[in-house]
Amino acid sequence: MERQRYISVPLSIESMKAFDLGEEKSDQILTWKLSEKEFNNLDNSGIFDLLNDECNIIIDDVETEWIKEDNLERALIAIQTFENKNYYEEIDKLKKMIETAIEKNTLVSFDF
Amino acid sequence: MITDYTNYSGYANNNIGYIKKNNFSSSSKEDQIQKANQKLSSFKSDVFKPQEKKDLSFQDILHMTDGNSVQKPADFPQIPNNFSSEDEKMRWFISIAKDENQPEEIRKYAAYEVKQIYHKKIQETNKMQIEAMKTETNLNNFQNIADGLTFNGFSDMVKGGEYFYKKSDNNPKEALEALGNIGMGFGKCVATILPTEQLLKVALTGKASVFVFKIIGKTKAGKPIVKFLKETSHKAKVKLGLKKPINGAIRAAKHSNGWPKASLKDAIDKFAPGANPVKGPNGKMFYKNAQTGIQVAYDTKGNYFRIENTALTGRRRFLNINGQNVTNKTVNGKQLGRTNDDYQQITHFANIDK
Repeated sequence: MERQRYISVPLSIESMKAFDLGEEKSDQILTWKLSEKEFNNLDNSGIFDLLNDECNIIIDDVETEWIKEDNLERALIAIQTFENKNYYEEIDKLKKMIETAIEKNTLVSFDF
Repeated sequence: MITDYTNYSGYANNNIGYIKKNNFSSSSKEDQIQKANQKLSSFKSDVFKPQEKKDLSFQDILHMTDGNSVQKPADFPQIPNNFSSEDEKMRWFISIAKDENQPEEIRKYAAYEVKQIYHKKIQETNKMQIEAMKTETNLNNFQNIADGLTFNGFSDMVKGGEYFYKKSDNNPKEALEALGNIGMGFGKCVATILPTEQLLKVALTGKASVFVFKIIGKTKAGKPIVKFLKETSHKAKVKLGLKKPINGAIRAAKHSNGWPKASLKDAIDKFAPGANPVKGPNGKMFYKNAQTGIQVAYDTKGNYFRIENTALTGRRRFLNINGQNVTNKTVNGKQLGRTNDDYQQITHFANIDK
């Protein structure tokens, strides 16, 4: 059975508060449930290493990590300049989630 | 003493700015490079147009000749033989090259001399840098190396390396500044190492330091630089994609003081007895109970573990040491949500086994 891994973005400040307490409603959260392949592609691409480096966080398997506040802009700059054509689809999807978090003034949560 | 050669690398940076300013996005890179070179050629002839006052910069003077040998004109002014340094000699030739009252051939020859001195300087500093890279590196000699370099592109890079090495784990702002230093240093190095055409390609990509890191690592002169960083900075290694970070160890160093202590062996015996360990990414090891779906995930780098109920769906699938779901807490008989920080703290266990 595949491990469950999620990347999530609360779509409002209120939903972010509920998200922090584990009480979020699914329609208030943008959720990407990653397949094993999608996770491996992102992990192999090096984008997690770059985000960890730029945002001083530790995205890792079997862990939860958030990108929020000032780190969102840093993450966006990092991912915009990141080059890895082999995994374009996954990286582009992640970039859009970061953009959504900036737009909604919330966060991106990596629950692996 | 550190001589500031910023203007020299500005020669290349100007090309970059020129390309960006003229926005060649609609044509291919080869076309763009060709157009840029055409513009640079037309600039050379434009410099010598009569009756136009121009305040020429250093890079303008470098553009005045194409690098081929230039015969010294018979009527070239007497060259003083008492220059105190190569810099002073270069300044003298620059003044002749800028002098619009001088004939074109005189100015071209002066520009040629400027270019010769400039290239000699670059070769010397490259050689010096490579020698410096060969020396054993430690925290104390980052600054010594940086101070000893006469080309400030390398100097910036070494200072950036020092920041990465010492400080960036705890201070993202300084890490970003260090990235800036390294990026700037590499940019300047690239400007002197790469042929013009390749430099233009770099400029056209508009990409930041990650790309420059990769390019520099592929050049002959860049390999010692990469080697230097590989040996001295974990962060730089990660940046270069050469090494996976030791995530678990970093996490444990940051947070394990607040985690409950427990025995990994006891947890495996309780939740996944007899399970064969399965290797996961980044130093993780999984012990899964096929009947219950509960698995113990051990981080070998950080020596801690978590207990996960894989039969649950959603983000919060981790259990406390008693195997209970702790996504909520009870306060005065009421069930309340638990904050993420709290949840993380009670679902990580520092291993006490020897």
